[in-house]
Amino acid sequence: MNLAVDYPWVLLALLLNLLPLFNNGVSQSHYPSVQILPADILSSFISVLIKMIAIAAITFLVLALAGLNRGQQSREHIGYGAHIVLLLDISKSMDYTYAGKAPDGSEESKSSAAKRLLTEFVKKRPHDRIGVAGYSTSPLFFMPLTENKQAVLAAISATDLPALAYTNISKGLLMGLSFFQQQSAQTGSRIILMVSDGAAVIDPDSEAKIRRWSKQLNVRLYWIFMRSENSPGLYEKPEDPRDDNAGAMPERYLHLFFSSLGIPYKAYQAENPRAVQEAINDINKLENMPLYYVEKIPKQDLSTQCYLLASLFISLLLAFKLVEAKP
Amino acid sequence: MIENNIFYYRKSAQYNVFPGAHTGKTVGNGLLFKQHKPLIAAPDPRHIDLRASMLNPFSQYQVKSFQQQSRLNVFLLADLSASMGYQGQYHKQQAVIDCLLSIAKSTHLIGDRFGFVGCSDQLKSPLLISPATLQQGRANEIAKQLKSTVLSGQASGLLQAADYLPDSSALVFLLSDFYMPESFIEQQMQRLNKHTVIPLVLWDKKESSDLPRWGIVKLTDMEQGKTRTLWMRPSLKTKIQLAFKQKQQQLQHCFRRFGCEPIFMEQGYSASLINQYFLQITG
Repeated sequence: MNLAVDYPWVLLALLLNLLPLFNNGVSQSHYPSVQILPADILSSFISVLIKMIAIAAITFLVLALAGLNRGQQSREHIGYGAHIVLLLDISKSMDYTYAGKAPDGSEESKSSAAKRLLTEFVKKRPHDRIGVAGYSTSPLFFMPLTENKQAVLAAISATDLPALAYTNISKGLLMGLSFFQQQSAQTGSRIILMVSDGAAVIDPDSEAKIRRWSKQLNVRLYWIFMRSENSPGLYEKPEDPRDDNAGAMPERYLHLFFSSLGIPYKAYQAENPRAVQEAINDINKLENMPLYYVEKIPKQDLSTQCYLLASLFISLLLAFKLVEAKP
Repeated sequence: MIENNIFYYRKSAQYNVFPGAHTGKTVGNGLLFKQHKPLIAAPDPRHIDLRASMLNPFSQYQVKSFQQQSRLNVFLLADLSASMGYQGQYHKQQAVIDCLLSIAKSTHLIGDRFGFVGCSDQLKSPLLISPATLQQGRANEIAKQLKSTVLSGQASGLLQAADYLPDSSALVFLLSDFYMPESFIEQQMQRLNKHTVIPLVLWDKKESSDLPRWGIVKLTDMEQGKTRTLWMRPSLKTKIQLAFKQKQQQLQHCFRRFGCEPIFMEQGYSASLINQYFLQITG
């Protein structure tokens, strides 16, 4: 129960609480000498009571104006699952079907298939903390690692943006890795689940960084490669040795690069929606380790209650005002 | 304005040489026989008492001497502190003015001198008739001034008032609400001990018995600025009335110790109450 306010400077108005100490607000009438009046306990009690009510009313009003809330809290959790970063390719080609055509209703596009399947995947894993990022021309940040499944599902459905042009896989990966960099200690396994339908050449700078980070952060990498028809697969070797380079066959070389990272890595070559489903089921089975994490409970606004209390006290004051008598 | 504001009063004016309406101890023209004196001592052959002269063993002429009726100094000492501005069933400030005019008129008619001392924190010098005069106009002037004065402060200046009174015994009306501490009243009475003092206590029904039966009331002291919040209810009201009754008794006891009887005025100034008072002591 840690209370906080949005506008601390408004609390200066609490100084107004001094006012009722000097004057209880009952309209006064002149009297030649109050010394002669006998002491009356009930009267002094009511006088103090009015002051207290006035102080309470002012206090709650000021607290409400200052935006009192039950501050952000955190709760520790231990579950079975993993930290998963969903790294989605949102390049233009994902908007096409597996056959490489624009979706016409009979076949779904790769992006919507990925979205549907990932949604199911997220729903099946209640204890994971999942983050969402996308990449295209540049990386896109959707959702940090969170246990809030609703937020994750919303983030996944938000990836359905009109896609952008290129596939900048290295920057996307770096962003995916950066999710784990913010964690202080490792609990549970860390997984990057990359969904893409193509690959790109990784420049040497990023390559070094990815190598270093993936080792440091101890991540596991799963790559669901949504292969379009007629595009080269991950394991295909070119017939002509001259074509055996990263520029001509980025998928093959990316796969080789991932394999050489020295981290647990698995690639799924999925040619149709069913294959994607299998890949996801596989991960589902594999990644179930004890997971320790801290759940954040968002701050809770208490100003409504404050306003209610303030109006209660003000109506009490009004009642006292109404029973005033004029001598 | 009170229609009949003239009252009757008597007090022996002991050593006042000026002739007047009150019995005095001075020898002079009068109707009351005092003693025989030898003609040498009182050389007034009109009053030679032949019979007494014949009986005198030293065969000296004896002259009758008489007590002279003397003139009296009448003073009004008015408390002009803030609490005297209270407006209840009547306006206390107006009561002070009524009292001033009434006493001035009564003394004028009987031929006595009238003086006035008004005090709040200090003595108010523009509102002062001292020494006492025979002129009534000055009193009217002060009454007019009093009407436009806003009363303020406490009655502590009343102690200085004794300095403005004559050496010889005077008749002093002390007009106040007497809500001051008893020690102050005692001190005041000690300072006025050579005069005959008649305390006029101006109270108002609205202060005590006419308070509301139910409800919250906040009363502000007119002099000290203190406030009291009261939850009025019948039991508290009777308690307050009792307190006022006690205060009345306390005042009576206090004044009786100095040989005078206070006159309580609860419905404004009334000359008939003073009249009654003097008739009672002479009768």
